Amino acid sequence: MTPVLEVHRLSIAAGARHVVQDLSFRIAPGEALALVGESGSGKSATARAVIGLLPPGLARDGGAIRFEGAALAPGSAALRRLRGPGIGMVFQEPMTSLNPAHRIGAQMEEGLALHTSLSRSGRRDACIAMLERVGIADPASRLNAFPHEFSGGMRQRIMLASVMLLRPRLLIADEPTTALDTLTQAEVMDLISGLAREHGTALLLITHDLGLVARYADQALVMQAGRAVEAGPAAPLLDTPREAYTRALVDALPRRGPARPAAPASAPLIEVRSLSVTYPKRGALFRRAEIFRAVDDVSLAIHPGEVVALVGGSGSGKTTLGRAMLRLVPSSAGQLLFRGQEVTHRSGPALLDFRLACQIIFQDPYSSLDPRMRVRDIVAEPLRLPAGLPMDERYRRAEAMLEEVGLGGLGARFPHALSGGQRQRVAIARALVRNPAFVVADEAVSALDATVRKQVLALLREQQRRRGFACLFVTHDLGVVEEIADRIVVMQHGCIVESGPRDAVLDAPAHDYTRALLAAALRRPGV
Amino acid sequence: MRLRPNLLIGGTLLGFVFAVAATALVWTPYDPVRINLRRRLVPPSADYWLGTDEFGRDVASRLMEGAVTSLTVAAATVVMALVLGMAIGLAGGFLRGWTDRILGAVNDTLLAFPGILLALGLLAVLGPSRWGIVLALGLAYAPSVARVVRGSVLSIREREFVEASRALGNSEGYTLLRHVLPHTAAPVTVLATSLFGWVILAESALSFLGLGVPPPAATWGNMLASARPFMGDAPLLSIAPGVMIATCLLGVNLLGDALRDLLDPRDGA
Amino acid sequence: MLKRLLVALPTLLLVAASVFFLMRLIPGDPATIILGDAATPDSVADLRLAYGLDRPVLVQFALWIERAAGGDLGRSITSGEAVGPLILQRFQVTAAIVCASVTLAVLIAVPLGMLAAWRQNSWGDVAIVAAATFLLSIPSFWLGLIFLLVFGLWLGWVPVVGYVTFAEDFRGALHYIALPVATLALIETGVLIRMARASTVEVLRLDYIAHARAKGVPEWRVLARHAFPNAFAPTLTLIGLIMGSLLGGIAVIETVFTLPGLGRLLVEAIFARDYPVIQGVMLFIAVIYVMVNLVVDLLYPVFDPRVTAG
Repeated sequence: MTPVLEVHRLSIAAGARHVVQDLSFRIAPGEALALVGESGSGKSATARAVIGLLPPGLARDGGAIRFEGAALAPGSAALRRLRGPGIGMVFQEPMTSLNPAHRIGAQMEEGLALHTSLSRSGRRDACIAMLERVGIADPASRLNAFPHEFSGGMRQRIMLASVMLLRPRLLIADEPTTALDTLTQAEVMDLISGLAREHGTALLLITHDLGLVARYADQALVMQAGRAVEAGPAAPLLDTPREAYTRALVDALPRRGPARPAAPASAPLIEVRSLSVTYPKRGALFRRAEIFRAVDDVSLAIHPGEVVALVGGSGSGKTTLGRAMLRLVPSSAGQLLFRGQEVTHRSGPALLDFRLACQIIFQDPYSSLDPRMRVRDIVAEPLRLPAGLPMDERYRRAEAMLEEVGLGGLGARFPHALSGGQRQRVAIARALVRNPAFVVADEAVSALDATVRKQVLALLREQQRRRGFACLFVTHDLGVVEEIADRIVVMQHGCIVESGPRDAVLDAPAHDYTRALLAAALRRPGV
Repeated sequence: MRLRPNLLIGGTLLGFVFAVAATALVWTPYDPVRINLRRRLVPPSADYWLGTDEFGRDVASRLMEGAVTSLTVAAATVVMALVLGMAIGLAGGFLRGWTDRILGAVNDTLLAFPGILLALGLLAVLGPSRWGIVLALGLAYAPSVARVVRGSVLSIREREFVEASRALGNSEGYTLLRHVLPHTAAPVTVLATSLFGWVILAESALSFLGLGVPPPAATWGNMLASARPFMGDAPLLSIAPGVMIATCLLGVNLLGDALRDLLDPRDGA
Repeated sequence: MLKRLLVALPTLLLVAASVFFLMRLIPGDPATIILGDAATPDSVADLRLAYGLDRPVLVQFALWIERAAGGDLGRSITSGEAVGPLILQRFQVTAAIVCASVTLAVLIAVPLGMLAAWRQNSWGDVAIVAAATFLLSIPSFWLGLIFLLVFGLWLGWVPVVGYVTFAEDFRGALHYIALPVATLALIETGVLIRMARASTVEVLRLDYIAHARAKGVPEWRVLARHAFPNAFAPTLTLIGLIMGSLLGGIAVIETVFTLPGLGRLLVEAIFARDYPVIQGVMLFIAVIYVMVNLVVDLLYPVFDPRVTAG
C-alpha cells in the first residue's frame, strides 16, 4: 500500500548548519506516527518541511518528501494545492494560532470556500457540526465570536475543527497540547486522535512528551540533534528501548519514589489560616468593580522538612497561594503564621526576619534572573542580608553553592550564556545559599525538557534531604508530584478540595477533580 | 557578529557632521558673520568653496558654524529633556499611587500638544534666543521621555527577577536601583538618539521660521530662510544647508536603527 | 465608546488650562498685553471689567473656558477680527493639506511596507527600507524649497507664490496645494513604510499566518485578509500621531509655500505678539489633536477586536 507520507533522507539546513540530517520515515493511511525529541532535535522543522512552511532562514537541503507517492518540491504549486484538503496542520500556541481580527466562523469557512463547492449555508452547517463535534457548546451563535473570547483549550479545539473540516488525509500536530494544562491536554489529545480515526486521517504527532506517545501513537521515531535515534512500533520502543538516548528519555518519565516515614509530630513551620486573596475585576466606569477570589478561605500547615505538593489546573489559585505564603502578594483576609508567630502584617525588620527564612524558585528561569548580572553576583546577592558578611566571604559561599548545584566555574557567565536547565540551577542556588527554612518552588521544572527536568528535580530532592528545608512545590504536573512530594494538596477554584499523604491521594483519590487530574496525567506506561 | 551597514554609514555621516563642527570651533575659512557687500552672491570658487550669501558672507564658513549651533543646541536640549523626563518618569514609576496619577495627568496633558506646537507656544512667551530654544524644546520633549521611562519602569517592575529580589528581603530602594534602573538604559538610549534627530529638525524648523537662534549667528535653518528670495539666482544657498540637515538626520536615524538592533534582546544574546 | 469620550474631557480641560496659564507666564498686565498698542487707560479698564481680570485667576479661567466653549476666543490685537472665525477660515487650508497628504502617504506606504515585510531581507526590502529611511531624514521645509525650485522656477509647472480657495477656483487651488501635499506625503511615507513593515514582520511570524497558509490560502489573501488588519492596527495609532505632528509643524510648510493656513497664522501672531490669536490657535490645534487620537482609539477595535472601545 502506498504510504500517505514518505520522507526519504531529508536534510534541512540553517545556513551552514544542519538542523535535520538524513531523516527517513513513512506513515501508512490512518496510522499515527510520533516524532519525539527534546528542544533542538529538529522535529518541528521536519513537520514544517512536510507542509512547505519552513520559517525564514531554514531551507530543505536534499532528500525527498512524497505525499501519496507524488514528490513534493518546496514551493511547488502541487504542494500548495495539497495544503488544507491533503495535509492539515495544528499548531502549538493557542494564543496566536487563530487570527484575532476575524470571527471564528469566517476563519473556519475560509478553507471550505477555497477547497469545496459547498454553498454558503452548506459551509455554515458543516462548521456548526464540526464545532459541536469538538465540544463547543452552542456552536451556531459561537460562530460569530472572536478568538479572544475563548480559553486556550477552546481555541485549540476550534483550530482542530477548522483543519479537520477539510478532511485531510494527513494531519500534522505540532506540540498541540504543550501550552495547555493537564486536564485540557488529555481532552484535546483525545479529540485529535478520535477525529483522525473517524476520518481515516493519518497523524504525524510532534511531541517532546513520551507519555503522549504511549497513549496516542502506533509508531514512534526518536530524534536527537537532527538525526533519527531509534524508530519502530510505539509500545515496544517504550518498553524495551535499544538506544541509550531513548532509554534516558524513558527513564526521565516520572516515577514514584519510596514514601518517607512521616515526620514526628511537630509544630507547623508555616501556616495559613482562612487566607483569602482577592483581586478587583476590571469593571465598567460606573459599575462597582467585581471581586475575583483567587484564593478563598484556605487553611494549610507545613511542617519542618516536609515537601508538600500543591496541585491544580491553571486558574486554580495555586500560584497565588504560594506567593501569598511568602507575602509577595497581599492577602485580603486570614492569617499567616511562621514558627507560630503571626507575620500577616509585619513590616520593616520583623518582615526581614521572615524573608531571610523563606525563598522562592520561579517557573521561568529566563525571566527570574536579572539578565544584566553575572551568575556569581546573582548567587551572592542574597548574602547582603543580614548585613555584616564581608564581600569575599559572600563570593566564597556563592562559588561553593554553584559548585554544589553543578555549575562550578561558570560564575563569570551571564544568564543568557547558560541553557535553561543551568539557569534553573542558578535560581536554585540563589534560593538555597542563605539556607532557608521554607522554599516555594513555583512550577520550578515545568519549562524544562524531560531529561533536564529529571536532573533538576534530582538536584532539588538531594538538596532538600541534605538541608532539610520545608518545601511547597506548586505544580500542575502530577508526574513531578509522584517523584518528590510527601503530601499532596489539590486546589480548584481557589479552594483546597483534597489533601493527604502522597500515596493515599494518588492511589485512592477522594475528590472528582483529583480523579480527573489523575486520569489525565500521562505516566510511565505500565507503572 | 553580522555586518551592520546601518552602524557604518550612520556613524560615518554623523562623524562627518561632528568633525565639521569640531573644526569650526578652531578654524573656519572666513569669519562666518563678517559682511562684505562687494562680494554678494558670488558663485562657488577656489576662494569661496560654496559661494557667498546675500551679505557676501562665506557660505562654507556659515555652514560650519551652523553645525556647531545645531549640535550644541540639540545636545543641550536632549540632556534637559532626559533629566526632566527621567525625573518625572522614575518618580511616577517608582512611587505609583497619587504621585503617579498626578504626574501622569500632567504628562498626558503635555503630550496632548504636538511637541513642536508646545515649543512654539513657549517661544511666544520666551522670545527667540538660543537658550529659549533649548528651554522650549527641552520642556516640549520631556513628556515623551517621561512616558517611555515610566512605561519601562512599570514593565520591569513586573518581571520575576524583581519579585525575586523582593523575596530576598531587599529593600524597595535597593531593588529599584539595582534591578530596575539599569534596564531603562536601553530604551532611554534609543529614545535619546531619536530625540537628538527630532531636536535638530525642530531647531532648524524654528530657526527657519525666524523663531530660533536669531541672526546674525548662523544656523542651517535661518540660512535656508534667508536664501529663499535668491532661490532662482543662487540655488546652492538653498541646497547646501538642507544637505547638512539631511546628512545629520540620516546619520542619527541609521545609528538609531543600529542601536535598536543591538539592544533588542530578541536579536541579541 | 462613551467611556473614551468621558476620559477625553478632563484632558481637554487640562489642555485648555495649560494654554491659558502659559499665556499668563508673560510678564506684565494681561489687559495691556491683550490690547497691545491700542491700550489706553480707559480701554484697559473696560477690558478688565469685561474679562473679569480683576477677579481671582481661577474665575478668569472659568470665564475664559465658558467663552471658548461658546466659540468666543476673543479678538485679534492686530486686525480686530474675531479669533474663532479667523481660525476656522485658515483651518480649511491646513486641513486640506494635512488630510490629503496623510491619505496619500498611507495609500503608498502601507502596501510598500507590507511588501517589504513579506519579502524580508530581499533586495527589494533593503531598497524600500533604505528609501524610507532616506525620506524621513529630509526636512520637510527643505524638500518643499527644492520642489519649488525644480517644479516652480525651473520647470514652471506650478505657481511659486499665492493661493486661491477651492470655492473660488477648484483647479487653481489644486495647483497651489499639489506641491505642499506631495512634500508632506513623501516624508510621512518614510515614517509609515517603516512602521507598516515592522508590524507586518511581527504579524507574519505568528502561527495564525502559518495556519492560514496550511489551509491552502493563497499568498495574496494571506497578506490582504490575515496580515493586513493585524498589521494595520499599530500603524493606525501612528497615523494619529503623524496628524498631530503635521498640525504642530504645519507652519514651516505653509511658510515655504506662502499658504494662508493655521500654522502661518500662529507664527504671524507670535511675531506680532497677538496673544488672543496665539492662545486660540494653540487651543484649537490641541483640541483637534485630542479628537484625532480619540477617533483613532475608537477605530482601533475595527482592526483589532481584542481591544474594545470601552
